[in-house]
Amino acid sequence: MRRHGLNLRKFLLRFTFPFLKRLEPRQASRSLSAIGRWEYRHLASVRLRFDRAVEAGKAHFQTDWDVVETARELAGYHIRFRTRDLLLDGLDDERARSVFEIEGREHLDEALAQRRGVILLSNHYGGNLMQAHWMIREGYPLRMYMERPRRVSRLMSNYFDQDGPLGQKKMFISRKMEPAEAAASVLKASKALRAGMVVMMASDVQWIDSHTAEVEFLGKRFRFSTTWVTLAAMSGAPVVQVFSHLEPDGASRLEFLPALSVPPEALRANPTPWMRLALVEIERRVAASPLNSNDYFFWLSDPDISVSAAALQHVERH
Amino acid sequence: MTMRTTPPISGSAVADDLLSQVADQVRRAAKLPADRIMQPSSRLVEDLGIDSLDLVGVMLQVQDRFGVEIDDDDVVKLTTLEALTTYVAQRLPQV
Repeated sequence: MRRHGLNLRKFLLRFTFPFLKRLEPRQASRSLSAIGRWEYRHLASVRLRFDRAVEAGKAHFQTDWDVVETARELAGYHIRFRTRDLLLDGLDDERARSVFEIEGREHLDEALAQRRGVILLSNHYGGNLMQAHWMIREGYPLRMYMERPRRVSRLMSNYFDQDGPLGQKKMFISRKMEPAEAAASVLKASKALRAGMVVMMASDVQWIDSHTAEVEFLGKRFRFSTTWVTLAAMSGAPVVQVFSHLEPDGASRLEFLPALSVPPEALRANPTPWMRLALVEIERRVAASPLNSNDYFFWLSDPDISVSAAALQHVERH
Repeated sequence: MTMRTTPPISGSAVADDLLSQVADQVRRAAKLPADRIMQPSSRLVEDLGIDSLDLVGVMLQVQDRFGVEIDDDDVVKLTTLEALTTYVAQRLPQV
């Protein structure tokens, strides 16, 4: 989205958020979507980008989606994704919990009971930080192995600032890390797993270093980080894939899949089959619910935004 | 860069022996070719070409082999073979 559009969105959000926060959480989430749909209706550049993206997704899946309707609704869902867990900011546990519907919690709990830690394999589908919010509220020993997300609730922000040897603060990674720093961060994650914690990391992170693999996703080839496969093989920790579906009624439905186990031999083997295994699950859900696709279709229609500026800087530096 | 293994830093026989052992562990963990020279001053990343995940393997195997705990925050300081050996020597369990 162009700068003008971003400023307008910021203004709209700043103006409406205090009102949204007074609503019942699911209703607030539904109302938030209206801002995205309004942008789609009134900003030609937004409309063009979403239409092109949905067309690209439709062509890949060869479906009969109504492009305009899907694109308009996607714009609404997209803003729910972008505002992360901010609508839950300051809510008491009971009100915050009312947003969530949980499926497959037993898979997560059974994996945790193995006492080898759990790799919680997330992605960029749906409300992709909502599971972290829920897990923090539920008291799971969660650590997030990813770049520090900005603009999150105070609950999450305070959690991010936890210090100490296994504190979240030191677990964040950056595209600018040198190899020794990257090694230190993987060591931290592996120690967190050994301590029986849940380490959340994404299966669809476009990254540029030697620990990546080019894998097919949505009909195109992307270079994704293979760190989750390495860490799983190295630690023996079970891997539980999670999806956070944004529902039409404003709910966040968390879906935990049965755990999978990556054998130690995978450490030096081709990681592609493992990565495809995770990516296929994302593709299935995107096909079934394009409104939860967030940026995925933009990866197809607008490749320039699929690799962040930071990643490109990384390439230039090396 | 064609290298061969050379004797470790001058010093006591014990220190030399430890340096050799650490070098051996690094070579195995990072799967370095047998003809790669490892000097005490060899930088793990720049000179030996060890990348981040192999570096994790090096640290984990050194921990296991010598029974020492390597603090994650110290990894960035362990840039050379000598630095790693000194770190291990300072933490070796007393017999």
